[in-house]
Amino acid sequence: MSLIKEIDFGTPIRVSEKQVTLTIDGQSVTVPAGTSVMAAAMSVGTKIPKLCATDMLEPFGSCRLCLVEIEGRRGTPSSCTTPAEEGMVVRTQTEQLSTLRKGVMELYISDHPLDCLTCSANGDCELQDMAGAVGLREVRYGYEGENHVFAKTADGLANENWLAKDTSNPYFTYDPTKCIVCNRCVRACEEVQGTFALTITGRGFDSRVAPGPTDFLGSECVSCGACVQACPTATLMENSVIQMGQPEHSKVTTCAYCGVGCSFKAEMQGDKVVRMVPYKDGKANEGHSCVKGRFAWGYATHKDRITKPMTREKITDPWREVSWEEAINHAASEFKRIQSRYGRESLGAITSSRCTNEEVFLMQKLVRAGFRNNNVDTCARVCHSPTGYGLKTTLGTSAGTQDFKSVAKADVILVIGANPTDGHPVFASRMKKRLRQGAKLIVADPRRIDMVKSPHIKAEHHLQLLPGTNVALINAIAHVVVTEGLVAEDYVRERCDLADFEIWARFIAQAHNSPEASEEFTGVPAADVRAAARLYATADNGAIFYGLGVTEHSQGSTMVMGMANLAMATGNIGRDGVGINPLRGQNNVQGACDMGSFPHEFTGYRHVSDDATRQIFEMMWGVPLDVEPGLRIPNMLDEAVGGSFKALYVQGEDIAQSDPNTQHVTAGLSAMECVVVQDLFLNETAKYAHVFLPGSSFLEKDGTFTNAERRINRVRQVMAPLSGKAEWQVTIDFARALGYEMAYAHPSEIMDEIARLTPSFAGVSYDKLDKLGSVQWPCNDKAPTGTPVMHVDRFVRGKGKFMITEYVPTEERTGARFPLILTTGRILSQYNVGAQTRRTANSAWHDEDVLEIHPFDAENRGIKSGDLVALASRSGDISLRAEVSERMQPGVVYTTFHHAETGANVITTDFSDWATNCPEYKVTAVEVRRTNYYSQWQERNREEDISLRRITGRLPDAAE
Amino acid sequence: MSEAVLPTNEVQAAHKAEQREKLARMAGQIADFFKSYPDAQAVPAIADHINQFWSRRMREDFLAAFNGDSQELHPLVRRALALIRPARGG
Repeated sequence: MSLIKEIDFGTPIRVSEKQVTLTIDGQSVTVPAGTSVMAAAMSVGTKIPKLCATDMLEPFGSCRLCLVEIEGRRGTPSSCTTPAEEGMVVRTQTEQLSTLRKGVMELYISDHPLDCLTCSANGDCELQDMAGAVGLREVRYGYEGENHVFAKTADGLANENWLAKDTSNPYFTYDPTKCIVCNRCVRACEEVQGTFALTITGRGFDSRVAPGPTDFLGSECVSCGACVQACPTATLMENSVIQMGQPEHSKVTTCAYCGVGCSFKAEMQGDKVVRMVPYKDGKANEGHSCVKGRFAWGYATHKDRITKPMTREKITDPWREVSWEEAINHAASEFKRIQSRYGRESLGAITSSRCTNEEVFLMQKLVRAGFRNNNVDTCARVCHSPTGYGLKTTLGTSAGTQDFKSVAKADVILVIGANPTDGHPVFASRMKKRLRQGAKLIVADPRRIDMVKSPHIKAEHHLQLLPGTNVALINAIAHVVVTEGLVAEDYVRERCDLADFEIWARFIAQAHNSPEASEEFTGVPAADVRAAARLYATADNGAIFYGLGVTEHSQGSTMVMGMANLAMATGNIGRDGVGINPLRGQNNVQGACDMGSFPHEFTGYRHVSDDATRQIFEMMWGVPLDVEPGLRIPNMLDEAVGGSFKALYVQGEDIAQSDPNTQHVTAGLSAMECVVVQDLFLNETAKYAHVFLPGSSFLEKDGTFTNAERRINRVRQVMAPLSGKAEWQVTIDFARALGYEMAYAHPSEIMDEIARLTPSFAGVSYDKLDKLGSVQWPCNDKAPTGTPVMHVDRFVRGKGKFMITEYVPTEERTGARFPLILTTGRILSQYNVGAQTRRTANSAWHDEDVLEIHPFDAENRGIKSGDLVALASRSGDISLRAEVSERMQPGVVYTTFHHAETGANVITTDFSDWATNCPEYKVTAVEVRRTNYYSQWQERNREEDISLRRITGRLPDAAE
Repeated sequence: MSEAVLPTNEVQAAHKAEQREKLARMAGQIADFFKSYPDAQAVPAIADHINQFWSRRMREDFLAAFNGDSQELHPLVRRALALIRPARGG
């Protein structure tokens, strides 16, 4: 094994239909028009010396090291900024060039520390490499003159040019003494990340990289790591490298945070991760990352990891560490006992959207073939189940239509109920790049999110609707399209079911769907809606991206269909640059759905009552399978409270924190006789568990994750499971203990079974993934290398189906007691329930959940930023700190659910989507007032954090 | 492990009433979506949705609760009752 190093072409490879042929050092080279001479040379393996160029960034031409000679041209142009031209004759190595380059390097080194042996970049320093490449042997100028290197001058005075290190960011250090002012960091922040946090202050010799007039942590820096990656020296360096030294081998794997599914190189020393570096050939992220994937992986070896199986009789007993065999046999015998006493349907399981496809597949197989019922569900229930239902009904498939890259072709982007800069930051960077190129943006969101306005981007329209009125808004937009003659008639005629279209068009044209009529509900001025509708409908390419602000409503599924209607009516599905795309929350939530985690569906979204499909599974698995749909998570909890659902196996999911109406969830869990939790940590749900099985992190196993663009990416093991077993191995053992045999020697064999059973995965294998890097399903004989864009010539269901989407207000209403609406979400540095990110230095950015409230509502209640406030709904109450913010609209408050001790979901209700029971997290009627106390629930929870987490022989601090 | 708190009869009765109300509400929400379609389409669509997504026991409980007395149900759900499939297999 060795370190994986992608080729750096120096400048981006251009896409062009026109090719040009030139001669470089006597060799003929053909490249797409627009490609630089530098990249053309590299494409035939000739490395022209360079410092300020790298192919993640546009050429800059400042270092003057990449000079070349071109026949017929005067002087020595820089090869990074000179486009290759037809017939050009280039020389990259001549006496003249050698002298010039040596001179340039000599100047650089005259103002650079010579501590190479003890430098953190030793072994990975482009400056050192270039000094070697040009053959620099002496620096005639000496080092004593004016410099940025030494804190003191030769005569012992303070050196005014010298700057101390900035160690404010927990993950990397800025050492200005090593800076060569190549601008790569500043450009990475602008071009790749799009945050514009860095700049060059001063001029000439005074030029310095600076995060504005503050330090890195206090600046707008989002810690994505792009600058660190771009830095050719030790100026910006990962603290882990400073501490540990250079990695010696690496493997490409997939991030286990959000649904973007970034590819990373896990750079290792033995089985220790030194750093995670975004992989340039990873198709989801193309070399970019965010603070979570890049830096927040330390949880994997955090001291809180539970690595031994444990059992206990009662949840008030302390845990007892036992062997794997004892834990599994015990759990299996309990499940058998419960099933024989309470019936076949008294058991169920929740698969994990953080685990691999292979592990999820085995869990649902365990339920269907081992428990012999269909009581299996997954966290998509509480996030994107309406996406599955809505897109399947209208288009025929339960997934987004595009690849992420497609956004680079979009002309108008409609972002609805998503906060990409926080939830899906790497995709947000792609989107912002496109916006800077001139695409137009419409944001529909109750809050003024960063996409609405931040450096160099600004939405044309911010439709700041009231939570719960999405459907009224989308209908109003569609009303404008239909009544103003903006329907793509040819497209609809050719691609969609015309009878359904006509019924829909008549419905949507009714006056009650007009922007003027719906303004009453949405609060969005009709003129804005009309203008936004015209903008989207008249775009060459209009693309919709949406998030949980769409799905987590009582009309979540209706809204998904409403968006599909709009996209079909305007002809915006089935090619590059358009589409309707869910930004999915967890790393493998798409995969968990694909793998048959829903109680009514086998893999590939086929209903359990479909006899032909079921028979294939029965034949392969050797047991008769249940024809009836099983219980969804909320139904399981309801039936547990009712006394008929008695045992649950929860893998990698923390329903006691993440699911709505916490007290109902814990009542359900408390009523069960055996709860098995498998996780990295003793999470909230584990407080109610009788068996704890240690889980393994993504670094500890082989498998695949499927991201929001249906891309199947490989996860590769870089360290052995700390507990001795990966989840898929535990599932096999558990099934065996129940009396059902599964035999797999490696996750690749599980994928082979998935491929045999699932038409849309028929062509997927580890061999293919290793060869191609990744594939997007459907991947089969018709599409052997996968399907980047879906519904190209026809919809998967045949004709696109318009659905009538009447706006039905939620039953959750504000009134005198609860006059405000609470909506919940997440922020950049924390992830979901925070179990991972809270155990990293990411808490430097966000160490508690706060309540955002508009100045008007705050003033009415005498609330100032930092005050402790009580937040109460019909479900319960909690206390947390307030932050007065104009991002909110009056009447709406917002918080996150990252911190267990806050208990944001104590507040949320069990209202849910009509079609899928996806909870209505986004609309809860609440009241807010000042307080001096934490709520009863919080006080009790604090006690139970200790009393329900004791481990025999350990001090209580080992728990979360 | 049998320490789980066994619900008392009272609690169970309260839960049963709550559950009855919840299932009625869920069915009503489904009807609220399909009500935009002509009744001849809406009624079977409501039943089909329930047959496809509700578990065997949820359907049984629902039918048991409302087959005799369906007054509190959405009018369309009332008409869909006859089409809700009792469990297959068992």
